[in-house]
Formats: sequence, structure tokens, C-alpha cells
Amino acid sequence: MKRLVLLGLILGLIAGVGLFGAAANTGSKVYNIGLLDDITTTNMIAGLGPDSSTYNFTIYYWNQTLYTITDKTFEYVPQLADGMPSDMPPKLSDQKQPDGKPLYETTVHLKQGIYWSDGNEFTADDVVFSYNLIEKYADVFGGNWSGEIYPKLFYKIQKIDDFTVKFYLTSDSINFKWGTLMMTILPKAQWEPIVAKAEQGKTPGKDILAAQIDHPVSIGPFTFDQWQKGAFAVNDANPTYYDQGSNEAIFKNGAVHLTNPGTGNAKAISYDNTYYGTASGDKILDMTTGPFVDKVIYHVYTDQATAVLALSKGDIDFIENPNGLTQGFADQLKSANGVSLVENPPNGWRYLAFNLRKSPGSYLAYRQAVAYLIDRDFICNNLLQGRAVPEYSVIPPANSFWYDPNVPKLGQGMDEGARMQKAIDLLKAAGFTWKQEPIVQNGKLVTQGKGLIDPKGTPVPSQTLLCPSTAYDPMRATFGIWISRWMNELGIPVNLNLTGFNTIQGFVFGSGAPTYDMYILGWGLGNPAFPDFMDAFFGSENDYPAGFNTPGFKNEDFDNAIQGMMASWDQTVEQQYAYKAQDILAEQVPYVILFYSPLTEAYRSDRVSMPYTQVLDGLQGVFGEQPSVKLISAQ
Amino acid sequence: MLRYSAVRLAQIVVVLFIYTTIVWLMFYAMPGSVTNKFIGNPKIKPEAIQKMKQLFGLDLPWYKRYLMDMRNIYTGHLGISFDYYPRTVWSIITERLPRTVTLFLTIVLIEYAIGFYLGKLIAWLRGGALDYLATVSGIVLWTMFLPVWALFLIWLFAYLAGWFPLGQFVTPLRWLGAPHDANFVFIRMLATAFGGSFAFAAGWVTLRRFLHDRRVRRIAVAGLGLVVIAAALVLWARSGIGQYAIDIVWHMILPFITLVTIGFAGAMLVMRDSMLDTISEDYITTARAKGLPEKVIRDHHAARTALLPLSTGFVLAIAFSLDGAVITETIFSWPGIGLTLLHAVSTQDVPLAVGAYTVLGLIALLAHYVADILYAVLDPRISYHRGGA
Repeated sequence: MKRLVLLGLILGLIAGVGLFGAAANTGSKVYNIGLLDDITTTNMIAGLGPDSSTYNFTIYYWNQTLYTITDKTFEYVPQLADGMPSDMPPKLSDQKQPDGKPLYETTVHLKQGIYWSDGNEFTADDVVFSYNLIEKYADVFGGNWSGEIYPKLFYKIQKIDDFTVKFYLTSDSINFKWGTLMMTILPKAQWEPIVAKAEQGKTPGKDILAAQIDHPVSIGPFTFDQWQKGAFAVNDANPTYYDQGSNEAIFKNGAVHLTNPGTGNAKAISYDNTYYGTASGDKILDMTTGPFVDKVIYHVYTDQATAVLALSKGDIDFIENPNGLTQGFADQLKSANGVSLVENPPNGWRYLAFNLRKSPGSYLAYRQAVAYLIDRDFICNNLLQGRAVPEYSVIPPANSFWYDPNVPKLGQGMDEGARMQKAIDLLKAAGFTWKQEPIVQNGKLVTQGKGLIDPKGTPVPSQTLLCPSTAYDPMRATFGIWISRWMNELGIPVNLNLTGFNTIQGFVFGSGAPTYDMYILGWGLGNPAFPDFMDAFFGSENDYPAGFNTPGFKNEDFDNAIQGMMASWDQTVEQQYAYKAQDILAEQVPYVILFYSPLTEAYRSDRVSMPYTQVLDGLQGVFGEQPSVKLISAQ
Repeated sequence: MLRYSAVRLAQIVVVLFIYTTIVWLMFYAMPGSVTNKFIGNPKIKPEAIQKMKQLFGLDLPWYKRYLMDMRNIYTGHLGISFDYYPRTVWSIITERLPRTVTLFLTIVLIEYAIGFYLGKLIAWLRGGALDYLATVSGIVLWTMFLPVWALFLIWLFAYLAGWFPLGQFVTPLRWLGAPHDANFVFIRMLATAFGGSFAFAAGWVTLRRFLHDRRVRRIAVAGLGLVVIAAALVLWARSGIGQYAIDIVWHMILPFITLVTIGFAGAMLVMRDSMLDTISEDYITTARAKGLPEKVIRDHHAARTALLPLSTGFVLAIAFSLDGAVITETIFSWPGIGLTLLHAVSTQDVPLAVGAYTVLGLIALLAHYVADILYAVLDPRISYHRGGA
């Protein structure tokens, strides 16, 4: 009896707690986003520096930049700046560097009437303060800051008046446009006292990174409200957001029309600007900026299965996941009421890299022969059931402005016999021989090759192909298995090493020039608006460890094309150079671009309305479109 | 005993040092570094990554890094985390530890309480239906694959029935505008639990000393328990943060059910086996012959002796529960020490990983020490004097 009473008390207690524990509706318009990890800090300098995390970017809607890119088409447009810089490219300055080297200058006007969330007006003081601070401590802040300020390019910044600044640069590199001018602007009023205090100590950079910022001042669509570490964070709609009510119209003819009637709220400013042509004809996008929600709650779910259940149940509206949903979760959500699935190409790809510093990777014929061997269609469509999409160019096809539709696609559409024969012909023409030459008859390989010998008569040593293991990435592992098989059939001795991701990174990106033979990894390509990554990955001057040119690719034609692209400030000219550069890469194959995995994402279409769902890099790339999303039903 | 304690403590220091060195070497041998997360961004040049390595001391020779890290560990703050630079490892651990302690200490306590109770019961009723049922179901649950069991319970009770939350340790909508963070509430919950337990234990000892009538004492102890619980409830009701504690408790229920259902069988079977050994002793036969009630023989004579092996396991289980059970914390989105360790290892945040493992290692060593001392206290037959049993 006693035990029954005790059991009844326990169950009653659980029921009581459960009834109480059920959450109340706040009555506010709340957009719920699931994160798969917690943010690391509300100190934005640290959060974009050493404490950098994808989920920090998801929540940091407190900052803006002088220039930004449009939605969907990634056109370069002013944000806090008023109009384009006075000189694009920067012009030669009258001033010179102390050693007599030239300086370049350009003037940027700022939008007026913009206020930070603490009531201070946004002025040139904030801009000058931000650039000087980041430039001074770039080495300590590290992380993404070094890719924004470009310390070797930025020389100084000068305040001309309250709404005008002048930049001085060491060159007229286009990195100024796509990097420096897109740097986060910090609120001087909040950070200046913190910096002053830190500079009284012995380690000012570290102390700035350690500063506790409980209420980051905002100039963006949201202000920070709360962070329960490990559980959730909250942004509130910024009632003084200057750009509330603005409209972004993008036309098929390339024109961009940005307007704001100034009626979004008491502090909204008005403007009407058109860039890149005449605002007429069909539109690709016509979007109004909010925010249209009162709050955004970022729920931390450390397990993707639980996050998917939360989305299915309706506890959250969207999951911010840089890798997208796996097939199993996508299938599960297909049957969930009110959930819509979207598929987008990522801004990245997986690739096979050669080492051009040594034989046989140094031979173009060898690299092309391997490229011809790889039947992407077979692996992607047959083995991986369409979960991977073949790719041939370093520019994703979805990045339509920069992608050359005529880029050479080595081996596309060829059957196995034709591939093998082409590879044999290439190697023979270059002077390669075999101990046992492979033979193709009637479209089939009838004799496997053995013992490839390079044109100098040196037997090709066993080539180690480093590849992520099946546990880490079954798609890349599948490619690795088949590439090594085909290469062995051709007579190239290949030893496939399925290993840890960190092991490959440590080997490839270690100290000194890389000594690997081949590896398979992947890249995210950064800013889709300008493919300067081609310079980072393949430019001669970026030969690793100076840059990310791990294959050691050195090609004069490519360098000329990429330098032409980087030096030109005319997009049409840039495009032609980009076409040429990617064509050269497709032929020279320092990398064989293999595939990309479409990003599958889900959101609650019965609760939220997104202005668009088809975009390069998916909804996660635009962090769930928080400033523009509308709620269909109040929560 | 004092001499034994001193020797054991000295051994702990030596073992801890060796353990920390081995852990450090294991992390040092791992390929890559924390700066790998920046390699995916082509705008961050290798030169900038190299400067970050210098900032973290990753460019130093191994022996300099070792000395630097050991100095940080043994001078209190355990070093500076790479991923949460420049927060100290100690501040990160103290932030996460209350969440882990609250959940997993509760689970271990209840697991062992159920295991103790069921174990003595089924041993006493050995061969019967209850013995068979409890043993079979316990073993079946014990062998259940935890992630599958956890996800099943989440799906059933949280997703389908909606009785419990899907995960996390708080309900965001309930905590909007909360005046304190969750750690503030966790620490006070732990303080209430420890304070209440201490008050009850002190009261129980006092009552035992002064009340000799067993029935009266039982009533008094029950009353004391009710008073302690009532006092705690009143304190919480008046604290202004009671509703937050209830929310946390609500979130604890599902992980609690998951782990207790899987874990109780271990304690139950140990207790059962120990009881079976004990009830075959002569003094149990003597107690029966004296006409003592079966319940008294079972609970006051047999179970008390049979408790000894279980108490050792209990102390060790508490210590090892503090590593947080990574799988449980991941599935229930309960970011405690376990997830912290997993994150630190995955991102190669070496100071955080080594510092956290050092703290856990120290707790484990101290737990072994306490278990040894406890055994001698509970069982007068055991002596650590030279020449003793």
C-alpha cells in the first residue's frame, strides 16, 4: 500500500511538473531557428576572430558593412555607404608611403540619418575607429578579420567630414572592393572605452577579445536580447533599424533598384538608387526588408535527429545546418505536415588534387589521363543514387554570371572503354610506357596495365591517394575507391588511404611545401560575388605555404588571366578573364573537380514565408533570411 | 588509517601527473590543429593561420608547449581555451559542470536506490516470479543500445505524446527575460539538494541517538523528511526563480527515465549477488532462529552487509557520471562536460580537452580514495593498519 502511495505521489509530481513545464505562448511574432551548436560569444571581435563559428554568423545581425552583395544575384551594392566609392579602381594618390612607394586613394560617402541602437548616430568616426582598430590588432584578432582588412593592402583611413572618409591603399587591388570595403563596422561609442582600458594593460589585443559584451550595440535589423548558454539565444527586432521597409528589386537585365520610402519606422531613412542598368523589364527578385518578426529565438540542438523532430513537431521553423539534411532526415521530413523541402547547390565542391612539384603529377598528360578516367556520372547517378552531382568547373554552374558554360569537360559522356583508350593515348603521346601496356578492345579493357614508366624512363612509384574515410564522408570515399581502381587498371600503381579528415589536412597543410601524391578534399568558395578564390588556390604567388596553391600550379597564361580579372574593375572584363581562367584550369587539371552534394533543407512553410528559396548555397547561406521572413501565423 | 590516507594521497598526486602527461601526449600526437577550421576560408591566408598558431603557442617546440600547459594546469586556471579564446578552461568547466552534476548525480542516486531496493527484494524472493521478471527485464534494458532507446523515448513521449520536451535543459519561451542564467538556478538546486540531504542526515542521526522506540523513530524520521522537503519547497516558492527550477526538472525527466531504465539493472544485479552471499551466512540463520521478522532480517542484517560492494560501485559511479555521458548529452541537447569534451577533442582545443580530462581524472582518483576509506569505515573487519586484515 505504502509503495502504491509512493508511486502515485511520484507520478503525480511528474504530471504536475509536466503541466507546469509546458510553455506559454508569448503572443509575439517569433521566428524559431534550430542551431546544431551554441554560439561562442557575443563579443563580435572575438566571434569573427579566434572564436569564429558558423552559428555566430547566424545570430550576428547587429552589424553592417559599407558595401554588401544583393540577395540571389550577389551584385555589389552600398549598405552603410551612400553610393559607390568616388574612384573605382582607387586612383593614384599625391601622398606616398615613407619608402617612396605609391599610394592609392578613394573616397566613400556615408548614408546620413542612421542611428545605432544606443541612440548614437552612425558617422565617419565609427568607420575610422573600426578600420584603425582592426588594422592595429589584425595579427591578434586573426580569424576572419585578416580576410577583411587585408593588412598589406590597407594603409590608412582619413575622416574628411562626419559623413565622408578617404581610404589610402598600397595598391589598386580589387581585394579592396571585395574585402576591405566589406569589413564589419563597429560602434565606436561602445568599443572605444573597452579598447582604451585594454590598452592600459600588457596584452591589449587579448583583453579586447576577452571583453564581456552583454549588450552589443546594433545597427542591423536585430538587437541582441538574451543568451542562455548552451540552450538558446534571442534577437529582438531593432525598432530603429534604418533600412526597415526598404525594397530590393533585381531585374533580369542585371539592374538593381534599391529604395526606401523612409516610413519603416521613426528612424528609417529614404533613398532611391539604381545600379548596373535601367530598372525595367522582368524581375528576378522583388523583396521588402523587415524585420517582420518581433523576435528570433535560436534553439540549440546538439543532435540533428532531435532538431529534425523539433522541426517536424513545429517547435522550430528552420534548421541552420551548413551541411544540409542527410537523405534519411529528408525522407523523414517529406511526410511531415507543413514542412517544405528545398534543394540548392552549395557554393563549393569536392576535388582531387595532384602534386605538380614531382613526377608523375608534373606531367599534364598524366593529370589529363586521370581526369578522363573518372566517370562522374556513373558514380554520382548509379552508385550514389543522385545524391551527388557531377561537376567539371571550379565555378559552380549555379553561379551563372561567372560560370563558363563552354568550360572543357574532360571525359563527359564517354563510356568506360573510350575513357581508358583516351587515357592510354594521352600517356603514350607524352612518352609514358608500361611494363605491361593496357589494351582496350571493342570498348572494353581486356588487359590491365602494369608498371607505368614516365617519359624519363623512371618507373612511377606507388601513388598514395589520401581520401576521407567512409565514416567521415561516404561520397568522397566512394570516389576515392573507384578512382584508385581505374588508375590501377591503367597501370598507375595507387595505394588508397582512407583516413581521418584531420590527418589529410595535417599532411597537406603542414609546414613547408607539400609532399603528398594526391588527395581528395573539398572547398567552400567564400564570396560568390567574385571568384577570387581562383587566385588563392591556383595563383603562382600563392604556392603553399605562401597561399593555398597546394598543387604548386604555375601557369603563365592562368596567372595573366587571373591577374587581369583581379586588376580589372569592369565586371564584363572580369567575366571574360574568369572564363579564361576556369577553362585553363579545366584543361591543365591541377585539381580534378569531382562533384557537389546538393544542399537539402527544410522549413515550416505553414508558419513562415521566405521571399525566395532557390539560391546558391541554400537557405543556410543566408541564415534563414531573418530580416525578410514573414510569419504566416502568429506564434 | 592516517598513514594509509597520506600514502594514498601522495600516490594520487603521482598518478595524476602521469595521467595528465599521457593525455597531453595523446592530444599532441593528433594530426592537425584548432586552426584547421580556418583552412576552409580561402580569404584567410596561411600566413594569418600561422600567426594564429603563434598566438596559441602551437609553433613552440613540444617540450616548451608541454611545460607551458602543465604549468597552466597545475596553477589553477587549467590554461586558456583555443576555441573560446581567451576564456580560461576553468571558467568553461565551472559553467558546464552544474548542468552535468545536477542531471547525472540525480540519475546515479536513483539508479542505485532502485538497484539496491530491487536487488535485496529479488534476492530474498529468489526463484520467484519477481526475481525472474526483474532480472530478465533488467538485463534486456541493460543491453539496450542507448542512442536507439533515447531516440525512441523522445519520439514516443516528447514527439508523439508531447508530455516532455524534445531536448535542451530549458524552455526558451519560459526563460525570456529571466533575471538569471540557468547556472544560477542549477547551483541553487544543487545547494538545496546537498543542504537538504545534510539536514536530513543530521536530523536522522540525532533522532536515532535519542529515540529508542523503533516505531516512534520511524514516524519522527518521516516527519523530518516532510519538514525538510516542505522547507525546501517554501524556500523555492519565495525565491522568485521557482518556476525556472521546475522547468529544468521537467527537462530532466526524459533523460532521467532513459538512463535509469538502462542503468538500474547493474546495481540491482550486484546487490542481488551480494545478498545471496550474505543470506547464506550463519548469523542470518541465527537471526531467524531468534524469531526476528523476515523484513528486519532482510533490511537490518543482510542488506546492510550486502550493501558494501554496492557502496564502492556507487562512489565510483558518481565520479564517472561527471564525464557527462557524451551520447546522452548529445541526444538530449544537454551541453555539459561530456559535450564539452567531445567538442574540445573534435576541434582540437587542446587546453580545454586536457584541462577537462585532468579535472575528471582527479575526481576519479579521489573517488577511488573515498571508496577505499568508505569500505574501511563501513566494514569493521577491514583495516589498513600494517598486519591488519
